[in-house]
Amino acid sequence: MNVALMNRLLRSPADVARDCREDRDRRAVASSALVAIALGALLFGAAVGSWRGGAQIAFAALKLPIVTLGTLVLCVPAFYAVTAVFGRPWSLPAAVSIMLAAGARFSLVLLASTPVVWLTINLGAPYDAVKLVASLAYALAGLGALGLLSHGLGEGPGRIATVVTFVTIFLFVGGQAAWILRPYLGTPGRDEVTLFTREHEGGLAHQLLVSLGEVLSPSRGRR
Amino acid sequence: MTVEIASPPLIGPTPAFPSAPAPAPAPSTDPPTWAQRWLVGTGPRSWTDEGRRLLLALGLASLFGAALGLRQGGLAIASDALGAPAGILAVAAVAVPAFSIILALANAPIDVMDLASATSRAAARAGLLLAGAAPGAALLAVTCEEGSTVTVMGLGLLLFAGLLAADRFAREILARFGGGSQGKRSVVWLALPAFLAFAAILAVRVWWLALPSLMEAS
Repeated sequence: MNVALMNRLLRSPADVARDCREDRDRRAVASSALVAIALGALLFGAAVGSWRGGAQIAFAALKLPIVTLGTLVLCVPAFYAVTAVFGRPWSLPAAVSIMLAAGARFSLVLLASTPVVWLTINLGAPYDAVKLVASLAYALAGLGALGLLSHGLGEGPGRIATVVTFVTIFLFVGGQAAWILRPYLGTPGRDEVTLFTREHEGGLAHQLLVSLGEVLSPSRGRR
Repeated sequence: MTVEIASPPLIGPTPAFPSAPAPAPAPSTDPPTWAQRWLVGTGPRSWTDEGRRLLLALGLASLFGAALGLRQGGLAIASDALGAPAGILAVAAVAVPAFSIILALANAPIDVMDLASATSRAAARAGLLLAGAAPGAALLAVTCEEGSTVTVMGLGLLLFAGLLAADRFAREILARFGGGSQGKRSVVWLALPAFLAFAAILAVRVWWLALPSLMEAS
């Protein structure tokens, strides 16, 4: 992984995005981004899995990179199409490299959030609190990636429409990809560690609302 | 929040309609990308090219339909692959010819090639968006526990693609109509919204009939 490039990615997202668009250093950006995405998600996953401990650390560390990279793969065509229909008919390599750069920025922010999540767990936070902290870390990482995408689009009309449309698709796909590979923290109330759950628990949005309710009014405790 | 919608540059020097959007930035000297070739066009217009563009749009939309059909599997994949482009085809084959007759009655300075070109480019825009969303839609269709999520996602994307196509079509027509007299412009101002409303209702109706699996999912 090219540390200088990662530094540029964090400090000057507009420059990196312009390089991707104009076919400068695309290969270097792509390869470094892939490593950063995998590493950031792996360590964040391990921290999240430490709530249950044991094999769950390895399971979550394995699954989060799959979710992140899988979501990127599924959303690259959408990004290519959305940018094209809103007036930026780039080449596919340009769209792919910008997506990878945004994914790398996402993972680097996740990496920065990892100690916070780990400390929250270490201080004995309950399941729902840890879930919300992890979700907030994801949201923060998403904002980091959004910054690069927004810069990557450059000036000109259609920028807001492109971002809104793509983020909506990305949230649907990313949320579902994460949901089908759950659990990451472990199943509350159960000691056994499972790679996947087969329980029907409603949707992702439903579960986030339940957790928020648990944190705001614990007396209604479900768990 | 106001969401701005932009269009790729139109072909050729066309007179600007008073309320038409500002022209997009000048294209670079790089060779055109695949998307640029199909969404914007790079050479003189011809019936063959417009026909190919429309066919490509239908093919791209069918990928989205096939993704939706994965929820039920089997024949639903094929039938939904035909259903998704059916709405676009219906507008191109039924609504646009009717609109061209209305414009001809008003002696509007828009020829059939203009309409065909605007139609195929609008369809390409919708088709490309649907094809781009197809991999994500396939994931949701196959893995969502609640069918209502798939219905909302599927219908939402179809309607949004239709909206983008309508936006593109309207901009092309308005941009080509700048030189008309006040009376002719008034006809377009009346006929265009009516056409777009009719096209929207027609497309939704066709999707409703041609994508039963999407409606049953909820």
